[in-house]
Amino acid sequence: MIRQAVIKNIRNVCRQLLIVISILEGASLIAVLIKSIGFPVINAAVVYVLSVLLVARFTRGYIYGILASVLCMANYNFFFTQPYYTFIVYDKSDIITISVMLIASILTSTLTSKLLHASKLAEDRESQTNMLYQITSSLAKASGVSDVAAVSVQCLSNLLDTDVLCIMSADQNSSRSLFQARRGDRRIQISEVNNVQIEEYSSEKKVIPIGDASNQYGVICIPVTTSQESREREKLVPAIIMQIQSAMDREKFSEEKKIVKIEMEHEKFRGNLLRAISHDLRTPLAGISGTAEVLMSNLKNEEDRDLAEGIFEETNWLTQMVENILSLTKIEDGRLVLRKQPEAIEEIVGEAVKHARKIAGQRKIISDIPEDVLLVSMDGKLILQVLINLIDNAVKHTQSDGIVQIKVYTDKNRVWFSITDNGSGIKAGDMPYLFDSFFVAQEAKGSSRSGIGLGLSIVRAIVQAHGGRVFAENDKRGGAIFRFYLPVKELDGNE
Amino acid sequence: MNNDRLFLIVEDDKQIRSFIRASLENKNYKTICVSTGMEALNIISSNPPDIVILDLGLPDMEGIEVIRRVRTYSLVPIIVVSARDQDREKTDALDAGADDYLTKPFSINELLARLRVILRHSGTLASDTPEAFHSGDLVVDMDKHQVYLAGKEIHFTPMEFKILVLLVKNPGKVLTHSYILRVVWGSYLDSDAQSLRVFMANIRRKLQEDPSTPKYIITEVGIGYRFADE
Repeated sequence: MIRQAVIKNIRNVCRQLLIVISILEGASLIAVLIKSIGFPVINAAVVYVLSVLLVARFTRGYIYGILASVLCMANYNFFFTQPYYTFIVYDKSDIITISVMLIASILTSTLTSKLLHASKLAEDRESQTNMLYQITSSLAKASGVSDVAAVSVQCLSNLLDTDVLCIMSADQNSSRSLFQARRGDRRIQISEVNNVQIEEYSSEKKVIPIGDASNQYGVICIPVTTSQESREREKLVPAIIMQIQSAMDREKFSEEKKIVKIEMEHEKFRGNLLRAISHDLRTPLAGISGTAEVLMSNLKNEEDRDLAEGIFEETNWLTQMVENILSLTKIEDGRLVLRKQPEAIEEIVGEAVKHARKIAGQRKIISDIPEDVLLVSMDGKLILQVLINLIDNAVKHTQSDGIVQIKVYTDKNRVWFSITDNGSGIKAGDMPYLFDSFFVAQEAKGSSRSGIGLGLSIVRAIVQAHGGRVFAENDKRGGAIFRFYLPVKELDGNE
Repeated sequence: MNNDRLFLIVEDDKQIRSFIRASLENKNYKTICVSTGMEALNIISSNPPDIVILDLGLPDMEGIEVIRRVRTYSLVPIIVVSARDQDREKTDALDAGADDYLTKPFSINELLARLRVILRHSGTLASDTPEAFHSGDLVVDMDKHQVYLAGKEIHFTPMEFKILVLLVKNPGKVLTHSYILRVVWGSYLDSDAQSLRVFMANIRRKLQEDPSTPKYIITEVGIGYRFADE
């Protein structure tokens, strides 16, 4: 790499020297011609000065101009001052002529080369500005992070006139994509690479990260270069990398937004569908259950009555399910509006206990609530539903002579509700999933009327909407305890 | 013996309409069935029924609108039927003048029980209840502002007495929180909802009520209260 650069440098110097020598040869030829025709030799001196100017114009760097000046004057001295074909000068005026011409030619040659250099620089700057502008505008047009990467390698390759690679950071699929722009080729190669290949690609190259450590999009690899010109251009690279990063930021953000939007639409669609179905099931179910009930009292034959009763019970079970699905979709949609009011705990729990007694059969229902009037801000209907769901659950998991206890107590700024039963308790394996939607305990799966596991997830959703939490644990004496609390802002229920 | 009673069923679902009708006709009540609010209003003004059973979700107009219009000229008892998540509509309907409500799906026996309660009191206006009220062990003397439980006088504060009288005068009828507040307090603030709960709790204690087995005051969670009438 470095050797190549040195060779290139040497070849460059040789070429420049060749230019110097050929121009001087030409000048000498013309000067000799002028002399042989018989014009004054001073004209030859002017031709030499002109040749120095030409050298300065066609070479890079003032070294060659100075070299040409010295060589010209030496030539002039050799060919045109007496004694001829020596470097000795007799005439003092010739010395003055030669020195003045030397100084003049050195000055003009350096001036010319400086001017040339300046105009070259200006040109470069202009083209750099143009490039930056082009890069910015093509980055702005790119859509998607990978498109930004493709545009970036193309632009950098154009700018630096070399091969450029961009290796993207691993995304979810753990494969990394490589964007490759070859010098002078407008096509971008895109391929999937593994870590070993990445090592190969990035070795002996300058590796520039895009983005910061916490959020790195990938790296840009460019060949290491020694040439002055390339280094000049590489000064632009950090600025371009910044542009690339902000374009990638922008695209990543909009991609994420798009994904979130799609997910939201999907959720909404699912919720609407469920709700529409449940809604349309409701009225016919009410019709079926009512009709079955009328049949139950009208039918004379006991067998027929049993059949009607079967319809009635199944329909009620189905209705319960539909209502649960409706409540849950409503809560999950965030469409659940809490109608909070200060409610007396004894009223809410009283209703729950009333319900418990209705479904308990032989089971013993014990309620234990504070003597004092206790007011808590809540949506009474929903908290009643929470209690009913927990009581239903307790009744379902106890023997027909079991005990269900409903207790309310307070600590500093919480009011706790607990529902304890003396049933089989909660299996350790079930514990983490109890409150998940559609979870049904292992032992209950076989039985036909086990429900589809929405009761407890509704409980959790309602309690959480109130800023409370719900807990489940096993009683040491056997059975399960479900507890939840509601936050109490002011307990000023007492008279 | 029931055949002089006329029931109007306003319900757009055919199946629900027909089973309500069937169960009422089993009890020898006469029925008229309609499926829209406009038809209901026409019947109520041309052929006044004894009770209206009104579904809140009608195809042509809001059930509440029907109640409001009926109440401008008639005191016919209205029992409202609604879906479970229509709590607000339910409260509004009661405030607009409905007498009671049922949530779909409802049990026919429950409906018949409610209808019996309403029939028992229809024709007697709240204002012409007698000076003394008896229910079980409870006696409320409206004139003397005295309350007796099992023969023993119980002290009631004026506000508690006002609430009790309001409930007692409307046996079986659901009184919404806001209705009670409006009648007892005149105008009210949101914070009064809290006071109402406390007054009710005190009344309950004085009547030795267990909220889970109420004898007199039934809580309608999220809606209001009802005085038991059995």
